[in-house]
Formats: sequence, C-alpha cells, structure tokens
Amino acid sequence: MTDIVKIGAIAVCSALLISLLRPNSPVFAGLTALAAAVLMTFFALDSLSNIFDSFSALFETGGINYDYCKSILKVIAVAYFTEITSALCRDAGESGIASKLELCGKVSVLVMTLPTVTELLRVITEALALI
Amino acid sequence: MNVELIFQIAGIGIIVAVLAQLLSRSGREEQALMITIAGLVVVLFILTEEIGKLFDSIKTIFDL
Repeated sequence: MTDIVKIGAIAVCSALLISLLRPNSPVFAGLTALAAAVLMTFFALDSLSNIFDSFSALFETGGINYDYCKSILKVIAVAYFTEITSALCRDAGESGIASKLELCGKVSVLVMTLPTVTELLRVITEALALI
Repeated sequence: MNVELIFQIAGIGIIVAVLAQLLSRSGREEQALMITIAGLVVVLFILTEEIGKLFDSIKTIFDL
C-alpha cells in the first residue's frame, strides 16, 4: 500500500519534471523518462520475485512439472520487457522502432513457446496411436 | 531504490539547458553545444549503470 503511494508520487514528480524540461531540452526529458521507468520497474520487480516464489510453490504442491511454469514465466518476462522498452521508444517519439520491437518480442515469444507446442503435439499423436 | 536519481537527472537537464541558453545568447554557440554534450554524457553514465542493474535483476528473477 505504501509502495504504490510512493510509486505514484515518483510518477507525478517525474511527469512534472519532464514537462518542465521538454521545451528547452527534449533529450534530457527523454532521459528523465528513462530514469523514471527504470526506478518504477525496480519497484515492480521487487514484488514480482515474491509472486514467482509463491507461483513455484503452488506448482510444486500441484505436482506439475516446474519446467512448464518456468516457460510461462519467461514468456511473461519477455512480454513485460518489450512492453516497457517499446513504451520508452514511443516516449522518445520513435513509434516505428517501438512497433518493430513489439514484432521482435512476439517472434521471440513464439520461439520460446514452440518446444512446448511440439511437445504437446507429440503427446497428442502418441495418445492417438494408442487408440 | 534511490528516488533522487530522477531529480538528479532532471536537475542536470535544467542546469545544462540554462547554461546552454546563456552561452548561445552571448554568441558562443560551440560552447553551448559542448556543454549540452557534456551533460548528456554525464547523465548517460548515471543511467547506463542503473539500466545494467535493472537488466541483471530481470535476468536473475526470470531465470533468462
């Protein structure tokens, strides 16, 4: 609770500073936005690591292979990462680069999930062969 | 987590903008450019360190 108040204060302060800087030195405005993004991501990561610990505990009590959980977490990580970085590019006024970055993120997510999909297909074909 | 980072960078930005404007008003365009570049380098030094830390922690948390 106190954390989110802190993060809100950081966001408002940095937004004010960025709008103050933008007319005189747009480069520094972009850099301040980058610093704010880095700090706020740090805040989010602190709680994310706790969430992942409880996630893995849940998976273990459910008796599910932890590798699947890990691949889900990796996909989530790539999604967050591309989201954050493409938002930064868009802030800097480069929406073209941002959309290419999103494309790259989608492709890398696809590459990461392909082994799981092929595994699933293999299991399905094995099950079909049993019939 | 150091919140002062944002204020530091914004402060450097304001100071550099004011100095560059003063220098360019007094007809020293080259020095204004130089001071802008110097400020940029300083801020980038501060920021790259933080970004590296962020990427490291992302890597450790997500097991990438």
